[in-house]
Amino acid sequence: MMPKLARPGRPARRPGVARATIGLLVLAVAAAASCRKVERPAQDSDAPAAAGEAPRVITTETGIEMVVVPAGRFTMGNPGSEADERPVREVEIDAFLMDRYEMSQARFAELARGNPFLSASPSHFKGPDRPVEMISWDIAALLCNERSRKEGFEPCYDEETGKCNFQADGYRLPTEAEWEYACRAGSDTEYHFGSDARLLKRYAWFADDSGKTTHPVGQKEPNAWGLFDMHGNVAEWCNDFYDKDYYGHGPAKNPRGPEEGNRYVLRGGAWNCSADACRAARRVGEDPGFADACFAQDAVGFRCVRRAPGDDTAEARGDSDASPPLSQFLHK
Amino acid sequence: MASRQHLYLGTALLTLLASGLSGSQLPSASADELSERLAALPAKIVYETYRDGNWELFLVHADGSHPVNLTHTPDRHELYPHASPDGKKICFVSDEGQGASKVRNVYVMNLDGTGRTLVAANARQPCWKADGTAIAYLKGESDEFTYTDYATKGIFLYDLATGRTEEHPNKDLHHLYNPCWSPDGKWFLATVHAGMGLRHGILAIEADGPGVYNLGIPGCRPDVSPDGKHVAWGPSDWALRIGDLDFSGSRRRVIGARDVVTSEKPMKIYHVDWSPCGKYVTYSRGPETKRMGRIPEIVGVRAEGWDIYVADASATNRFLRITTDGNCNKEPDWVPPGKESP
Repeated sequence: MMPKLARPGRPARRPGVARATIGLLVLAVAAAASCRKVERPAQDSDAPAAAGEAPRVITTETGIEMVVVPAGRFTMGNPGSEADERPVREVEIDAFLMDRYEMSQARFAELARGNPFLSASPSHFKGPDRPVEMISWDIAALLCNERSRKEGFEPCYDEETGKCNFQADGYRLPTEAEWEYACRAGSDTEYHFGSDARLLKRYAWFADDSGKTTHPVGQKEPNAWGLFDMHGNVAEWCNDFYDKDYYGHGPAKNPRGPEEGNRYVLRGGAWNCSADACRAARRVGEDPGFADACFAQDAVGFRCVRRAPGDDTAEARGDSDASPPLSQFLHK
Repeated sequence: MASRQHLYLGTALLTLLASGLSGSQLPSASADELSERLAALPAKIVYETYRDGNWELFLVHADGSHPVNLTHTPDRHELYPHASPDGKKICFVSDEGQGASKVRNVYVMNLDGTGRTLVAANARQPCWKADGTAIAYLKGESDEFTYTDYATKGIFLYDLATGRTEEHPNKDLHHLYNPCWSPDGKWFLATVHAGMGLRHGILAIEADGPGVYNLGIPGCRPDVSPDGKHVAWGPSDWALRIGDLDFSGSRRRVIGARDVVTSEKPMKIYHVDWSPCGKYVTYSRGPETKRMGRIPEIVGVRAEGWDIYVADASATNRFLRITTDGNCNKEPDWVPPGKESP
């Protein structure tokens, strides 16, 4: 079954964990204090993480571990690579929770139960602990809604239009900026562990070590924030429409992608990708249904995010000028 | 009178629709000529349609005239009709119950809607043996209701004379959908998705043995021609293709493939079915939708704007729209002209 790690693991090298420390401290407290329903810290102690330590992990009502990703700033993109990764820019991200692992087939089947539009067994490479794949964007989003309903949250997606309500407190796919921020975990290198692609095998299932298949989630080393398989295994759907020029005009705070588009963003690379395609900044735009409902890609999966517990911040309310009240993150 | 207006509207819309196609446009004179030829056909077409909140089965002439509701069952949904080789019976699925008790079952009935008989519970996608003595169907993968087409396990064979059911000898058949039985009775052709070690493919499956062959063609929903020599299928959301079945060697394959109908976003084309004479195919066409998980071509999923068409199998994009109300008209199947039962 899925690994049950009490604490987020740490890579051997921890480059540049820097710009998110204030948000990290705030969110560590928030995780301990404001978790909803039966969510509980996965760590032994409920003491807040100290500045500079790895973010905390909670376990949700449906038993899925999520990392409390701290608010902060990071440099998004890569100045020396693909054109759609430029211009690099400073981006500010509010705190959020992100699944520690890619959505596994067992978890997907549990969450899909009761929804007649979701198949319990859509994957090519079968295995309960392997990541679910052959997933179109709307099925991933639909699963997010189903997970929200099962845990008593407000679903984010309008199932008639696919539009995401960021003010809802339920699950959704990460924005492209959230994904890259979480993947980097404070780093500013090609990968979250540095820029030496020769080390990628320690952290990722990709073309050089996958044996042309997916692998159970969480078997490689995680990033500095305890997130597994951010590089490789399956590419992960993001909430954003893909726009190759978006970095040139997107907002600097919580960018959410273009309003309209024909393709959605995939991030992280997969078992069949080169090391270059697994880079933290690498962007891919893919048809949400792979151009045909009959077809699907066995290298595409997802993981969910949702607003940080108690995050009724100005951004969540749509008021971008106000600051989050610190009191909301403290123990009651 | 209404049915004639129906026909004229369909013909008039033909040229307009053709303008949205990537293939050759059909002059209105050709549309009229095709309409006249279809009006003279003795075969009819049965399809599923959503009326007043309920799925029913409708029967129409090949040119779309004389529509008749075969079911009239507001308390249950009838879908996925397939006519017997003698044109006297129809097998279909029915979605019954609500919520956790909802289930999809396979039935057979007379062409006039009488004699409704349960073939199998928690079953789907039935098809006929060419001699009309048996119905093959797929069992649901789990007891829980789903619209997912490939959520199936195994092929089962129902003998109409005895009412007995046998499972196909190959017990590893899994995640198949849209099976059809070859006219010689030796093969099933079906799509597989995320099953049997395959990502996706169209398979030829021995009807009486363990053999399974990947035909190596992209797409889904194959249908074998009445003479057993050709196959029609959908290589994508935007095309219907026909090719020749080559089972002469050890490698089963499809050769000489060509598109018979093409389309462009947002109009999808699906559910191709050969006419009894082998000269035409019927299919459904309609817009894709943004409704999450509600894939319009899936059985039981509402598909507003979808209609039934008939195309000349010897040409490309030579077709006639035979329904125009857009009432989620899908899964057309030719009904052979009546003849004596075997």
